[in-house]
Amino acid sequence: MTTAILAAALPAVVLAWAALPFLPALAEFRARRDVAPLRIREHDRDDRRAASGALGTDARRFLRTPGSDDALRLLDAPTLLDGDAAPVVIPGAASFADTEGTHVAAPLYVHGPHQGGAGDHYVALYSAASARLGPGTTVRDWLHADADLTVEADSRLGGSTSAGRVLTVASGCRFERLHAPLVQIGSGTPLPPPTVPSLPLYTPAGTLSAGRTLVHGDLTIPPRHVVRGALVVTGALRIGAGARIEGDVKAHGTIVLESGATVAGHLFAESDVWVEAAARVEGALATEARLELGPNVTVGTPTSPSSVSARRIVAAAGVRVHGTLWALDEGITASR
Amino acid sequence: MSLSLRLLARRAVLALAPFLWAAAPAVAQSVPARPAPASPVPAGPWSVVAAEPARAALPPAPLERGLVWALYGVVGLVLVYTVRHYGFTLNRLFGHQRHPYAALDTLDWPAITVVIPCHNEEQVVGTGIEALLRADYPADRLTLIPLNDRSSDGTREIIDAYAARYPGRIHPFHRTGGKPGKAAALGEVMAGITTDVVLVFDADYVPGRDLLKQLAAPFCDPEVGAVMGRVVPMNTGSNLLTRLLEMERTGGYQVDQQARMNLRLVPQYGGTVGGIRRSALNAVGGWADDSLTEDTEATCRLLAGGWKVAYANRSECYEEVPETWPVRIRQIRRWARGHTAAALRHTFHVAGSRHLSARERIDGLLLLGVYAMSPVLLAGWILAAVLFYMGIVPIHGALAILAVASYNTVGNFAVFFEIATGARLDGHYRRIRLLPLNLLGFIVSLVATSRAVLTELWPIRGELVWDKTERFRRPTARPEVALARPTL
Repeated sequence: MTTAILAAALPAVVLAWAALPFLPALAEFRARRDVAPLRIREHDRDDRRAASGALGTDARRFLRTPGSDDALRLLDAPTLLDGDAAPVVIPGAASFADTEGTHVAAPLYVHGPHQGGAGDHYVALYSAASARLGPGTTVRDWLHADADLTVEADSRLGGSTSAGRVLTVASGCRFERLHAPLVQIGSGTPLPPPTVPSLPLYTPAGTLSAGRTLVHGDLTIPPRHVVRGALVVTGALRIGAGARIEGDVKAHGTIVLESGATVAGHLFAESDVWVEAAARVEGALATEARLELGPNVTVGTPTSPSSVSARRIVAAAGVRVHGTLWALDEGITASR
Repeated sequence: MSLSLRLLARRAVLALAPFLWAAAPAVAQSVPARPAPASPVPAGPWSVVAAEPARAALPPAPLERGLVWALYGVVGLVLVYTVRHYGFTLNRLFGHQRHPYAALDTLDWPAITVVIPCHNEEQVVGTGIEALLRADYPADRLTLIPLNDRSSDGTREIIDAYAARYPGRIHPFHRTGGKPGKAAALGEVMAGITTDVVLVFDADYVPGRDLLKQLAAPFCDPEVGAVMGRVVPMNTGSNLLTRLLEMERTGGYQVDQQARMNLRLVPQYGGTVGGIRRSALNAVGGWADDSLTEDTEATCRLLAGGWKVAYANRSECYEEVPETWPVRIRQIRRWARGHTAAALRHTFHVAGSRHLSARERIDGLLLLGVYAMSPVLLAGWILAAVLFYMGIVPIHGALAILAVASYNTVGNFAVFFEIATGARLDGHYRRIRLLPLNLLGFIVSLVATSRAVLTELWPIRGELVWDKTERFRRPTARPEVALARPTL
């Protein structure tokens, strides 16, 4: 008798237990509280870049028709030290050069040139002309100048830093993303225009397919040789001094691009990359690890802007990038 | 208790016994079984249910032994896939996330061709073309080719109207004969394409402005032969099926594909919201025009040829998912048949490719076996029931694994913890509550997939039939009629 009751009760208990999760499921099915499609963000991580563009547009419209935007404040520089977070518009030039440690608590739009002082702190800054920030400046979200932008030593640049012409970042700075037609680190001497020397051909041993050579293991390309075609190396890759690769390059291991070597294409790595003095990459340069750019390294060309990306970037004085220099974790401009 | 009640109780126990087996061995052991043997039971991963403990069990016959080992084989396979999916989920939650091409936003953008395969797509093709025309990509480096594959509705007129309105930007390719199917159509149109990067968007897809750049950037990497973006259903709220499919897609892309990218395994090119390096595909034989899933074929060929597939989780694009069960069943049957055919062709190529690492080979084989797991799983359930009624009880733990891990195994639709994780990563917390209802989708897909796989494995298969997925959107966007933004 007891066994029969147990035998009858057990399936009922099991079924009831199994049905429990269906209660919230049916409730959500009926209520339809979460049925919207996933919102696709077009710019993903570039929200702060979009914010700089939006402030520039809003501020120009605001200056054309004062009072058209309640979210903006038209102020003079001396009154910037309040704690209100509403964006501030300065109709002319601005200079904090005579003071030290100015703290601007709201996004700032300067319609003319801007001169910062030492140790200034900005949430975000947009200059419709050129801007120069003093040593030890901190920018939290983004920084943009429509013309040239110069950032002096030991500054910290959060988010996106961009310029319409030339962006110069001195040594000892930390950055996340730098973008301009020409980004230059420190005060290196510009290199003469590149020449394409006549070099002996080097053909790596590997599998050739669709114009690409696949090499299993490590590869060293001897100095002052040329490799024609794309190249994928499953180990480490060393490109000798003065060598030239006419194609795209990828290595799963580390890459060393010795002095004066050139990659006339894109360069990808899954490990650390060292680009030594005066080497040149004409396309994109991307690694999933650490990247060291030696003195006078050039990436991209004036007519073919490009991207440099890595988790950690250390860039020496004289580095010139035409396009974007993006450190996903941390970027540092070397002190020498 | 009356006799009928007792009989009813016993029948209930008998019916549920295979499922209660692992959880309640005592109840299971109360069920009458075969007569007990006189000889001792030989050592092995089974026992014989004895009605009276005093009797010893008979040694299992060869057939019974074979069935038990077959069941353990199924359990072993189920376990492998379960571990794989747990690994993916944990990686997505706690591991290092790889987006190696996401920061390439400034480039000398390569010339690309976007192919939009259409077969009777008058309801959706206009919206897709408009979205592509709005894309942020240098116009002089972008060629749009609507690939009209033997349409009998108004698709041709809509495409031609767009071509007339945007001269030089849209180059229609009208196909009136030849082999049916997307693969054959792609093969034909590919012959006339000159750019090395070819992106493919099915006609019902609505790409965002940045998507073309996001999908083109990975091709700067000379190792990449194909790129796959993330598919996001736009008709999520239509009914229960679309809500379940949205969750399934979330698990499949947000967790499964991204984890494979993170772990340097084998992300899959999905045939749309993605692209192919034309020279690489040509080097490995081009599109397989006799395939129902040209995407899986291309993935396998590229992998075996030393190329990689890159998955870009942040390259999202809206699509329309089936809104009725028959359409969904036809869709998944086509996928299952095509995938199984690809598995039959390429298992040895992938396993033996010297260009792949060991982990890539293993993942590639597991990927190829995903749809075959459906009939395997069904076979496991049947075996468990048959063995039970034969009076042979395999180790309870193995049955528990089969019971619990069944739903964690079949990866052509993402498993439940992947779905939950994906929804959480997307910030959709409430819809996770729908998860138990996904059991419905699981059962439907299991049966449909099993049938399709067995059909494909059957020696006499007949002619391949391309089942076009029916669209549910309202007819939109003839250029002279409407150029409004799609409602997303």
